[in-house]
Amino acid sequence: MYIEKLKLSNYKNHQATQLNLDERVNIFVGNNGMGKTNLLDGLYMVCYGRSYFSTKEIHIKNYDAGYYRLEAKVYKQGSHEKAVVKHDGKQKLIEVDDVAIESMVEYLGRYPVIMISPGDIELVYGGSEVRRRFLDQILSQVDKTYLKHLMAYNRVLKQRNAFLKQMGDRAKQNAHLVEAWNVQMASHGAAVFNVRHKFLEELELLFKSKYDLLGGQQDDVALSYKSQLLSDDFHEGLSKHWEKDVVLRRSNFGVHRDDILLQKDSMLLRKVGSQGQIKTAVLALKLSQIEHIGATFGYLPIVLLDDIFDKLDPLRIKNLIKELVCEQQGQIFITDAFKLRLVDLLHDINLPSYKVWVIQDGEAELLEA
Amino acid sequence: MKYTSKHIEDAVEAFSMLPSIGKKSALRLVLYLLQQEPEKSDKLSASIKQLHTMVKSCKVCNAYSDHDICMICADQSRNRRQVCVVESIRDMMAIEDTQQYNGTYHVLGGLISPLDGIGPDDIHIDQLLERVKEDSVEEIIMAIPPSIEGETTIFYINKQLKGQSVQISVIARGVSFSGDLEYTDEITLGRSLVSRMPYKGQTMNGE
Repeated sequence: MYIEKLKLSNYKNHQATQLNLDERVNIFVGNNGMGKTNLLDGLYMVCYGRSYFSTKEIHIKNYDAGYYRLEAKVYKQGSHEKAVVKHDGKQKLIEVDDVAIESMVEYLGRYPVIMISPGDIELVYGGSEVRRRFLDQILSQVDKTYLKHLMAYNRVLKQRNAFLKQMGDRAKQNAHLVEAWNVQMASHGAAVFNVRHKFLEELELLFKSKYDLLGGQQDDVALSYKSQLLSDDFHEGLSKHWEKDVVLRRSNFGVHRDDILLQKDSMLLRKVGSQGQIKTAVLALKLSQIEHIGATFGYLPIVLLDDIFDKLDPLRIKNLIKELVCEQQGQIFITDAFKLRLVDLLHDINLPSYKVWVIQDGEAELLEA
Repeated sequence: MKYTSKHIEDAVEAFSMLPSIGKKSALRLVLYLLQQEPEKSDKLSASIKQLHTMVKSCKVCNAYSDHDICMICADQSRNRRQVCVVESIRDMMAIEDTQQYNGTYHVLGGLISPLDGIGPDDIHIDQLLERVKEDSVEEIIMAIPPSIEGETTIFYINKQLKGQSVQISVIARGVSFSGDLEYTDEITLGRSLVSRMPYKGQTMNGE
């Protein structure tokens, strides 16, 4: 799968940008603030239906226009599709080959995509919600049933928490109502747990092999699944935590407390790891994500590399690019402030075809090779 | 918009209070009425005026009614031992339209949802429980949407009725009529498999 053509209209600082893309490697160079990352985000948006960086639509629309439109021609499994994500000033609309897509659930995973950006360091430093989002992003692109159970679980949790908040001590007088939520949390939550559990077993090995591949063979780094469900089932766990729930007025047991444990020498990686080890771990997570999605779909996701070169030593950069470009045959997009650094690197690894675009003030110009 | 008459402006204001009627549609309606015989406007305003004075809630099932007891609850040919519980009057009307049901109804007027500030006491559950006792209801059919709030409400009512001899059933959730299996979502399809029915050679109308 790859994107043949991308058209951005009024998307962030891109008023009218049109690119005929290389099916393997596309490089966007230019100074900071010129719109390289916006271009990657546009690609992400058209593939995923949501922006990677902005959660609010208001930050996406080009200030004056009041609307935006993204169009991609995608080649996928022998056929060409036209995907459009647009905002008409009132709402966001998604179309494939001019047919409206009714729900996000239907669209997610249609064109799998992975963004790798400096902010990913939060996977190590951030709270557990960052790592859960990482898990859910992978699993909901490949498994629609998982996504539905997850959404249902989150809704029950919200209702239960709202109830606990409103009722305080009086929550205890309404055992039947609490049981109604517990039963639903258990059924959707167990489905979520089973999928995560199975995936984490795979991720454990995948992560280790990717970490080694990036140049960290000598480190004893490990990943594991942390979940209350590993020791208690929902029935036990919910009743054990009930008193605490009432006091704290929120739910303290369930898959919404899951985490991915990243360790080095059996201690928390974020406490004992060096900068280089932490960055390597983040990239290993992302490479695992790419591989899992590729294996599930039978074709690789589109990979977007945003400005990662300042953060890594040359050897690891080379290993990363080699893995993405030589070992895997998917389409990738790379941004960098300096053209030479990247081109030299690509020269080094004998890349057959690529395109370089200079991005300036929201306009893209193709550099002749 | 500039109006040449304050009365027209007022009327446009009033019409645009209605859901899905904007200022432009409202103006079109007002101008239409002005161009018709005055009787038409009289009829319209009279019927609107009567709405709140004449329409009440049925004391038994909470459906809108002109009398203390609605037409369905008063109908002697309908089976009072069977009560179909619905969220809203619109859902009740949808079931009536199927012409497949000859029992009575109970309109809850909402579903349990703390996020919207609705608890069990804010909808007509107590009234339903009383009805079950007094009318010796034999079957309750939950025709409630399969959402989190719907499931919660069904579960709660079921618990409240524990120990009573009433049978509680839930409308079947499954593959839609003339629907394609491959396009049915997995949760629905899975559920349909679990709650499959013995084949008795029945047609889709259950006849």
